[in-house]
Amino acid sequence: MGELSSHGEAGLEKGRVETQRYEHALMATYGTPMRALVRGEGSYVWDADGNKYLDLLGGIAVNALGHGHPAWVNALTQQASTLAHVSNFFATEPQIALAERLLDLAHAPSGSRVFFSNSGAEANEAAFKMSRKTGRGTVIALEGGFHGRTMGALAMTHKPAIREQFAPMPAGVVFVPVNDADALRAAVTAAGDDLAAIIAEPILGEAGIRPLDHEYLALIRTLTHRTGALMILDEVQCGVARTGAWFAHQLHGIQPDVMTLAKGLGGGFPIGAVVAFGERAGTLLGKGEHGTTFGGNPMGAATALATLQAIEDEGLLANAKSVGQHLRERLESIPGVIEVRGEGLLLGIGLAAPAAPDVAQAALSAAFIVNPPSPDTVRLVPALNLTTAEADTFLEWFAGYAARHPFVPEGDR
Amino acid sequence: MGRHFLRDDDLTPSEQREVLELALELRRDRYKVQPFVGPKAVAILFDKHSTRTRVSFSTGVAELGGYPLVIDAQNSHMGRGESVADTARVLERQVSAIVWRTYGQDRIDEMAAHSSVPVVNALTDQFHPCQILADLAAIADERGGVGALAGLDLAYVGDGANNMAHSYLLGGATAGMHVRIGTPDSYLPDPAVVARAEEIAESTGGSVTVTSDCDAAVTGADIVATDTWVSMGDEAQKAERMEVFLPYQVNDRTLELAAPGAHVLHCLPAYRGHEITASVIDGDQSLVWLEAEYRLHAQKALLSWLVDR
Repeated sequence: MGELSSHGEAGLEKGRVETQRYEHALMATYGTPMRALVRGEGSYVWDADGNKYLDLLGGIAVNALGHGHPAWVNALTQQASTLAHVSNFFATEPQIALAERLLDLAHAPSGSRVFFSNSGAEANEAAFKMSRKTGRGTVIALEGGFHGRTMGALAMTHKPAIREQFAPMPAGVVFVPVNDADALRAAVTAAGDDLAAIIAEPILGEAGIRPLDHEYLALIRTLTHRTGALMILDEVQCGVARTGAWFAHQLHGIQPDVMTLAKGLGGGFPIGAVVAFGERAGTLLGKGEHGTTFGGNPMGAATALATLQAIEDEGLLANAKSVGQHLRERLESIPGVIEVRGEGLLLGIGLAAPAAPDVAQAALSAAFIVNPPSPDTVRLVPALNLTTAEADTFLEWFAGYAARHPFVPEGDR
Repeated sequence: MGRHFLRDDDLTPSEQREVLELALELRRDRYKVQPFVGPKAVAILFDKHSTRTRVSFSTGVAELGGYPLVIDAQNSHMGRGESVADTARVLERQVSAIVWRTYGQDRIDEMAAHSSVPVVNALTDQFHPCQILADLAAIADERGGVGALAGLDLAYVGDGANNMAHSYLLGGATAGMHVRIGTPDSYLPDPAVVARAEEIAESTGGSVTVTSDCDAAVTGADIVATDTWVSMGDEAQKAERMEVFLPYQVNDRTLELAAPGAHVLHCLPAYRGHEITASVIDGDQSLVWLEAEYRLHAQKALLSWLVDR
């Protein structure tokens, strides 16, 4: 690994044709795709020209088992040929089993309930609607937080550039700076009896893999208890074994009132979930008050069950921890890396300069897929079964790249 | 050498967290750990009366796969003056742990000094650390987990010089709580314990307040705890205590001053109408019965954690 295999004129042309067709047929919401990919196996993907890449992005923390995991493929194909979709007018065994499994893994108390959606944004929409059902209107969210691009989720997402042009937003959301206890206390006091919920990602993903302080999470728990508001944890990216724990909040020994999941849950099949802890949260949404056609359909539920089972059977919680630790230690010793943030296999490489887009581009040319959630952060969210040897190929390339392109802080240039 | 649990600060903040996490786990899955399968015996010694401690430790050891050997001092050679050191030397050769409810802390310290198996303080005149583990676990279970303990305001009102006050100071500070003791000036907690609690709180983000102003202690508190005004051994001063502690009673007015949804603790036995009113201990905000249940889970977690060291 390290360099692309040589490709001839015809191969190059094939990739180019695919991207041209894409641009003529799809909305430009994602810009020009970096490559047209045709196949995946384990932690590797191949493009239309036959080049092989080490996938350290995993479809943005989605491909928990990598590509084409036999147990996952088997679960999906078996379920597709048995019962693919029936709508939520009917119960299916995979859906019930998945809800039970999630409640069990989350150590949820009696009265807890699950709602299935198709995506993380929709899970957060449901959580937002649950907050309204408390009869109160104010939601506190975090600056830098990202909860999705549907209107309710967008209202709780901080980044002005992706909000402003879609105003007016659903009302009632106020933002506070991350890890600032006094600001949070002040916002809670200002909201008074109207405080419906505080929503937070235990590790902020799009803000550059920034973990919340243990004390800050504990404070959210205390303040929500004190005021009767909901503590909503968005674990869409950091949940489902990504951090080496089943859910990131378990690293802190706390339990929220509501947790949202998606990404890794289906191991590549689109499915999201809202886990409501306890009787109160579990019954906030009643009959006819929320719904979705596809959510938790048998194929999604079966693939999620297979994903959770494989994570357990193959010891991937421990693997995420140990390979994550290996990556962290090596990365920290590379000059220009000022810190490595995150837990397990949810890592943000903090660079001394805003060079992350350049790194991602160079990495792609060298056959590694990573991405920059913020200008000074390179994100690694690979399959949870990534091996140390696979990680080492990237470490070797990255150390070489950093040596050739020193990350000099902007002010020192 | 095994680890002992003689006072609350024998567990570091992260160790306390581990034990509490396991306690919550054991409430959900009672037979999850079985360190005494064999069965191995655990000596449970009593110099003083007990209901909850006797039942919870006996049941707990049995559920951990072991054999609880309950020994009352008056029925053993200890009651006739066999030395603590000699008792420890005999017991350590035959049992896997020693649990003891006794008088002075010096006695249990001496037992631990001569025992290679874990010694657990099941109440002394100075500390009641197993009770505080149970209290913390019950709060954690009710409030969304062990991590939620840090930052909570815990007010203990009543007899500030007793073992519960001392253990709340040390155990609460270890959990990162803001511990407030409301007690008359003549019943202040041991200054050495207060100093130690302040030192721990410094590192955990908690804090310690001792005041004779009961209202100040309970105002805005997330947890309000109290204890009987006449503990075992204090019976002679009963009339005086009833009078001096009356302003420290936990009643409906206390709950109005405390934070909305505050929880109330009492380690039992309770005397309704004295330290706590019936309306409070039997009311919605009382965590007393869960607290009592957690004696079992917390002590099992502790024993299992200790024998693993």
